[in-house]
Amino acid sequence: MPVFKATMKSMKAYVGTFVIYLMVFMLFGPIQANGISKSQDTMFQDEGIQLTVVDQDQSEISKGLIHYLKAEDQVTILHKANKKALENLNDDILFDRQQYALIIPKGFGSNVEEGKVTDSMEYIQTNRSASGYLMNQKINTYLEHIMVYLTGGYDLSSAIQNTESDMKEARESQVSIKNAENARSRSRVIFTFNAYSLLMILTVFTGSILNQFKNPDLANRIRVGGLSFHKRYGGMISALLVMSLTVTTFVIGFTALDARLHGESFLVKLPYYALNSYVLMLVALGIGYFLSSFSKDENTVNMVANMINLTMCFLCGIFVDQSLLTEGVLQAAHFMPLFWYAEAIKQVACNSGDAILGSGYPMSILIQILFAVAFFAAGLIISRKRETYNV
Amino acid sequence: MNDTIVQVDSLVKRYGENVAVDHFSLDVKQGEILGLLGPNGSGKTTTINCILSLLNYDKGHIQVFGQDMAPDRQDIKRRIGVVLQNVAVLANLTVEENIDFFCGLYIKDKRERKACVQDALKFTGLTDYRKYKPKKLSGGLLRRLNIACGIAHKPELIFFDEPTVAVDPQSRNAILEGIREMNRRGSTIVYTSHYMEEVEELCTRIVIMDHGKNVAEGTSQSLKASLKNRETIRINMPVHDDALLSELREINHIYDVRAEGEDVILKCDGGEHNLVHVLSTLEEKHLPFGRVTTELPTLNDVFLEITGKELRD
Amino acid sequence: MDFLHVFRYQLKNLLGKRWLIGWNFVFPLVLSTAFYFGFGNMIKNDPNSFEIIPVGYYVEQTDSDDSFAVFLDTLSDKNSDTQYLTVTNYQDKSSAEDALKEGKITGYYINTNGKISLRVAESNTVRTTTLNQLMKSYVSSSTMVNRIMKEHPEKLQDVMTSLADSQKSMAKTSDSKKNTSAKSSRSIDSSYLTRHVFGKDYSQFMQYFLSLLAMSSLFASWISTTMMEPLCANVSECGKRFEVAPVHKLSAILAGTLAGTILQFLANCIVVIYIQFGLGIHFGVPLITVFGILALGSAVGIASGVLIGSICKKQVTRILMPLIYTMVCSFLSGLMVGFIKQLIEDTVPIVNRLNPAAVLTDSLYVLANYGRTQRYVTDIITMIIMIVIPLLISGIILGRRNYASI
Repeated sequence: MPVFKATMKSMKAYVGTFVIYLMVFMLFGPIQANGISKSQDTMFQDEGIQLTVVDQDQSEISKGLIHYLKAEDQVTILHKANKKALENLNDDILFDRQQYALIIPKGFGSNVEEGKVTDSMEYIQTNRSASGYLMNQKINTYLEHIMVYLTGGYDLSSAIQNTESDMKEARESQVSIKNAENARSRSRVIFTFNAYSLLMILTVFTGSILNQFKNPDLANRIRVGGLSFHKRYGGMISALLVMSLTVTTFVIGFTALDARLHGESFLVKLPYYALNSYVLMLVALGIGYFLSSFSKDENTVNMVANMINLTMCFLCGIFVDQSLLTEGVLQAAHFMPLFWYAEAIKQVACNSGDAILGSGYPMSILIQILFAVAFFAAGLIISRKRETYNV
Repeated sequence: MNDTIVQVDSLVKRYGENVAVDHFSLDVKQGEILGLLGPNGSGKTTTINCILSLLNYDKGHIQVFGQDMAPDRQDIKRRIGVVLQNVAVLANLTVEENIDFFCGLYIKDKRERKACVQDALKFTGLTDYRKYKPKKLSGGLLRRLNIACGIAHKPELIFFDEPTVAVDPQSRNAILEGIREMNRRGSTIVYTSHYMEEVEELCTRIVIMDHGKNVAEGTSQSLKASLKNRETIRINMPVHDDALLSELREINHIYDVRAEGEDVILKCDGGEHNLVHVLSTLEEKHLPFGRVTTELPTLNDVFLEITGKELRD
Repeated sequence: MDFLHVFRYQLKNLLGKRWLIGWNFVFPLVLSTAFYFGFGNMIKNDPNSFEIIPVGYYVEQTDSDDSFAVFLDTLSDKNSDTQYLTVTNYQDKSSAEDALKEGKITGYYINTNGKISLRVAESNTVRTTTLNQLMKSYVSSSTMVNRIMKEHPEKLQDVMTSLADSQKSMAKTSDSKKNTSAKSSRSIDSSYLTRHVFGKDYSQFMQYFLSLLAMSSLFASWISTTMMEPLCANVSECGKRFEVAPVHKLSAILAGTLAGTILQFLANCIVVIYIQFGLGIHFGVPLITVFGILALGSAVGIASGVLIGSICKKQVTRILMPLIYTMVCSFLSGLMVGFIKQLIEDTVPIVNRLNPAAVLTDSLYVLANYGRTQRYVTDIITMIIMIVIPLLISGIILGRRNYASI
């Protein structure tokens, strides 16, 4: 009890750290969700993108093309663009605010009628080529149709009209989805981002508090105090557990509130997300405990925690989607607990409520628990050895 | 020459409602070792910090070397050395580097500084430890390093703020001897402490401070001479009664007799051979007695008489 | 003489602090290595790469002329440079469904008497959208050909020739941009469109490395809060000793600032050299220019730390404040959420002007993409202001030599 109470009281000095990382989570989690999540839709939805069309021609054909693009994508239209405007477009695309820009030059319409369409338009895109490829493909398909109709003896207006009709018919093709779940829900995005905040708060905090008790004079005083090794550490760990549960529950509650405010219902999945978060909490405590077992001071704890956590977040699909990571990295990430946290979230997001237990979710939870146990054990062994040999 | 090199007139320093220094006056003569004695919280360190212009103060006037002291008086600061209460060294520099760094803030010339650093190492007995970092030093050696950093530049006026706290007796004696040597070499010393034995042993003149006030000032002898009690005799006498105590009170120069358990304590206001007179009286009455001690008054007694409290509470 | 003396010892003192060296030297190296493993591949390799999608095909019912199968054959031809798909034919729907469940295929097409439909595992992905696009392309082309057959049958030959030429032209274009990576690929460029490139082909993932350099520079604020500890009487015992000495305090702080800036600059140079030569990621800007900008960045970090150090007295705050400052600024410049900086630029641009991390990353980004434009010059001037103003304010705060309480 005395060690438990002392640990709880020591936490006051770290309130600032708590607040900062929690605020980061509460601010940036929803921002990221706004940016990359999609709303629930049981019908198939194309990966519609945001693009800008600079229509310097404003001819029938350019308007027809824009009308076609608008059917599936979010199009912003500009009629002219100087160098600065093009740079702004490029910035927006590079930083993923938009995915594509098309520049239709003056005289495009007349060139089409004359059949001079090679390299007739310019586009701006990033080297995330998939979205760009799709858009190019769409534009090519449209122009191809126009050219073919013109070759087939139709005038431009008819060509545009017929192409429009062909595309409309094509859009009516049926697509069915096996998984009706929204794989990119807000809750998925926020829980994924949560990994960073939760890990940072708990590892830094745990490591720092435990490090405090390693101050030689303080540690010696406690050691000769008469409590056994297990009672001492039991008190400490209990206090940390209480704090961790509070923080984790807060984080889960915040995400649930955010989902509710955005009309996302995930009550069925909430227990699975929650369990995953609590298991991550154990992993974080384990890492913090492990850090404290060999760190000499708080600064070292901070430094190593940041290195480990940030590295894991980048390599395990927290900040960068797993689909963008190379095969080798993904294989290596299997040996990191955060990878399994992200996997568990993915299983919850991509499966219906009653299918989650049948997916890889239980395995991901179990592996995380094993990681937590491993970190605890390592920390305990090191601490014990240091105490025994008085290092 | 006995010029006044530090003059403090009616210094007042408040921390909010608390008056830490209350119209305190002091002057330090050149060549003396002035002891500033007082219990914890009496305002000694605050006074020193005000003299050094580390702290601003509410009222009063401070002059050092005959000039008004101010934070930007680098000419005055150049002649002062400070040994702070807490160890003030850089943990990542070696002993020699620490001394060199702080000495270099006073002495610009490299050669002169090098010589001063070597002298300081020798003076404080740290030559063998010059390459050590502070964390490798014992408490006593760390204190010596603290001193070396404060005196390496051979200042004319040195402030020692409780330099022997938590120091082993051997190091303490070495420190006190070192201070005497510095004084012999010409430095004026201001020494603050709550250890009366040190101050009695070391200081030529003593100022006693309590609650920010100057409550007594003088040499050790003159302060003790101001007390009524010049000698305390303690006799272990299991058998005694009020009649005996009254009779003992009749002896010349005995002004106070009281019993404390099995001991009888007698206070004398002067005279000589008081003990002989007391023991003769007891022998006449064939009264048995055990251990007998006689004590001369201490500064603690002076403090107790003035303030009603012990120096060390 | 004071200046050099303090400078020398401040440098020694700072170099002795292992945790400081760890944060400012080792941490950026570790993180840049993590970035490299995470997405360095996407920066270095030919960006015009496209993954071939595994898809199934099930014929429920068809007439003799399965033109869709021919279409799929064209798209899955391994010998061609226009391979989009690998196609697996299924004899029954359940096999296709099982393959879909096991993740062996992204989706499968169903041919019901010439009517094509698609079944996919999940919505909203680029792969499934691609499959849908291909299907729509087929449907629209078929509709078009049928219309022409009905209305202008005499033009049919010309139309088919035109269609074939179009395919060849696309194949030629892709051939000239053949990807040499291990995976098969197809160029995304075409004969109707050319890519507008601003100078060099700049990868969006470079932003992470730039944000890393900005974060590293701002971590220098820790160097300066540490540097100031032995110089301020209200912070440490050494500070008391220092302040009773006959030293010009501001000159000493400047000496410490210079020592810290040099240290941080050195750390940044090591990271840059490691990224460029060790990891092979090029900044698109001459190295000497990168060093110049990072020298400014280091000074910004140091100056910020001096200001923090002059305001914060408690040890805990002196550790926490630089961390908060650095992480918040780095977050807002896109260290973790890549589009944040541009989002802020579009909504509250003043934040980017005041955020030193955003200014530093912007200067390197602009230089790499657009050259020395007005925007670049503004960024440089802003960084200089971000050095001068904190130092001036700190000078005013620290100028006093005595305190009400220490």
